[in-house]
Amino acid sequence: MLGSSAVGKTSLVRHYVDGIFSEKYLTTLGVKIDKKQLTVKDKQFQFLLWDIEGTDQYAAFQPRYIRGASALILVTDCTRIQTYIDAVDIFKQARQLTDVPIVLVINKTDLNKHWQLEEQTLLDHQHDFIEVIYTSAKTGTSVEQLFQSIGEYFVKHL
Amino acid sequence: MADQQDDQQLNQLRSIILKDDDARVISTVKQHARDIVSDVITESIHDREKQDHSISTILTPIVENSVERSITNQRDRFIGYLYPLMGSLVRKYVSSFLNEILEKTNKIIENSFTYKGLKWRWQAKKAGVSFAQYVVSQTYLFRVEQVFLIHAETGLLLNAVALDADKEKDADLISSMLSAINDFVADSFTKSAQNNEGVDTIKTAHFTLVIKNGPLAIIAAAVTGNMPEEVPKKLQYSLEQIHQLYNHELQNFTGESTELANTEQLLRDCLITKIKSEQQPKGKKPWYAVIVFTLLLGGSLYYGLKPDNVAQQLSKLNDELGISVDAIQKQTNGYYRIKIWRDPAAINIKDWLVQQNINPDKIVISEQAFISAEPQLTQKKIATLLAKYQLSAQEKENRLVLQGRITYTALAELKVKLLNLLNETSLDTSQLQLIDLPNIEHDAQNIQRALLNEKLAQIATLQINFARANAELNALAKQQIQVQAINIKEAFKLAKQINVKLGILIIGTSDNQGTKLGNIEISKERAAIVKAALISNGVDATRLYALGIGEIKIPSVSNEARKVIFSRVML
Repeated sequence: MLGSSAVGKTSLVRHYVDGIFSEKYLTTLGVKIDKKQLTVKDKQFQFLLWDIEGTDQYAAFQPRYIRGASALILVTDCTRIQTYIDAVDIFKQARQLTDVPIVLVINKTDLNKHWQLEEQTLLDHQHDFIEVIYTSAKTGTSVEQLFQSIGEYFVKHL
Repeated sequence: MADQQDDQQLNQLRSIILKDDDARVISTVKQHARDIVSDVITESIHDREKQDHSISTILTPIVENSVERSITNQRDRFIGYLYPLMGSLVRKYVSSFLNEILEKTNKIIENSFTYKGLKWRWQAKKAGVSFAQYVVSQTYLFRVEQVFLIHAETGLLLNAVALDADKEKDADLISSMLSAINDFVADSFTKSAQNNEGVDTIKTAHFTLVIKNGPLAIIAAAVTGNMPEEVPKKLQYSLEQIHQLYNHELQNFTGESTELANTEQLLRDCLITKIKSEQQPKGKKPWYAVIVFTLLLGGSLYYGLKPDNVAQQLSKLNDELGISVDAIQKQTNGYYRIKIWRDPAAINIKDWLVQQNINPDKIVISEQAFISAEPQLTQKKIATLLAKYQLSAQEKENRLVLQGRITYTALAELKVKLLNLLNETSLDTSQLQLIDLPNIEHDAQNIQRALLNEKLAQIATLQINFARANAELNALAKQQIQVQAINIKEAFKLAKQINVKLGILIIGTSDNQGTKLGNIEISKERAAIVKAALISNGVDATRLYALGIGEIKIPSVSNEARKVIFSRVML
């Protein structure tokens, strides 16, 4: 799970995953790992979710942490357009390292939207992201759907 | 110059003879060049190399360049090939280095004459190990609680084992976090991009986390207590084994860890726990008694300093025939732990406790068997034995004179048993009335045979026990092997006297934990180590046959059968 700082990555999954580690790991190690189990079309999935600390500058992230990942969740904040610009940057860097499926998440939809993707942009991105999902960590809107869509992708492609 | 002239003349001659056919001959030879050369290439290379060593001179830079290029292009593959090999080389070097250190430490410690130093020195002597080894064993008390095998690329858990089953449930999360920490350290504190070394150990107040990094997998272990050097060594060894056995599965890992389920035994091997052995010895030689008497003296002095009613009462056990108290410890919960040596003919400890009005439920007894040399107990044993054969005895001039009627074979049996209790010179059987008078020569052989059978039975009753997943001899096992070596040497001697060619099978077994292959391996290792120890105790190596049979499929024992047993073979 990647994205700029304060886009709500940690809040997004807080109530939906099983974890044993405290959030302080994020600031010390730059990563916190939780577990999410779900069933999609009779198939059992266990995701180990690496919540990677966001940075404010240069859209930087620790490349080692996405090594071996099966999918990436790229999170943005609909109240700050900069988070989308960063996400595109992160996307480009990540694509140099891996070709795993990526989901684009636009979070904080419970707040006033300051930006949203135009239809043309969505079309442009249709090969980049397996899904673009609008979520709210606060109300829980579409959070389960996020994991479901990744599960469905694997059911279809594996 | 002469050579050049020869060549010129040869060319002239060739052009005269062949004229226009020259080109045709050359093209025909060219066509078959491959066959012609392949027929003689090996021999030619050999001959030329022998002649002037020019082949190796030419080949060396070519080979060097090719190897260099392959390594540059396929670095990971080479690491994969060399990893198991390098590991064992390094281990060998490190272990010889450590031995040297141990020896030096030994010398340093040997010069220390503190109270503890002297006490440990005595205990080491008792246990039959070097003083330095004993000090190490006293310092290192530890437990490997949990072992993880982690896929290096993804950080996903491949397998995990724990002493406590409850701990296994979060193993997948912990394994990912561990690999994150490993990555974090590798990135934060190593300078070059080539250097992928992560964490080696993480220490907290309560435990140590040991991590061994391999090219395809990482092994991590949580250890409580003082971790000795053997734990990382064992982890490294298991990691190398896993790389060797599961190279393909690790290279092609897609998240399905079932293919690596069989790594469990190798991981279980790393769950080492250092506890004090409480095995029951079955040795039959009286020298245990000598150790016990001296211990008794030291023990009573030591414990005499701590006044304690129950402890004082318990120490009275020392007054009983055939019982020696090794240690009495008061536990924090009010219980007492008592460690004693007891002759099987001595009074039952629980009965004794009841007689003394001590609640047996409050006493944890750990009992080791030995043959007491106390004269009164010996007399008691002789009396029981004679009663069994319906004989009587009188003591005359320090000799035990047996009286009564007995068969020749029964006498042979009885003699073997009695000679465990007294010297041959103090036994007089001349007054016994033999029921079946023997054909002397024939029966002399029968006696020898009976003696041999008795000896072989004695050999077969002794079993050497091992700790789980371990092929090392503990102090007790070493003593047992000394006894067994004497037994086997006597058996060989007896066999020679009656012209029987005798061999001894040393059979290693294992419990039913882990893989079959691993179990056979460890059982072989156990047998081999016992064989080597017997040889070093002077037993003829050519008549010892060590074999490992793996697990014993008898339900009631298969869980505990970590043994070496002995059997005879007539050659």
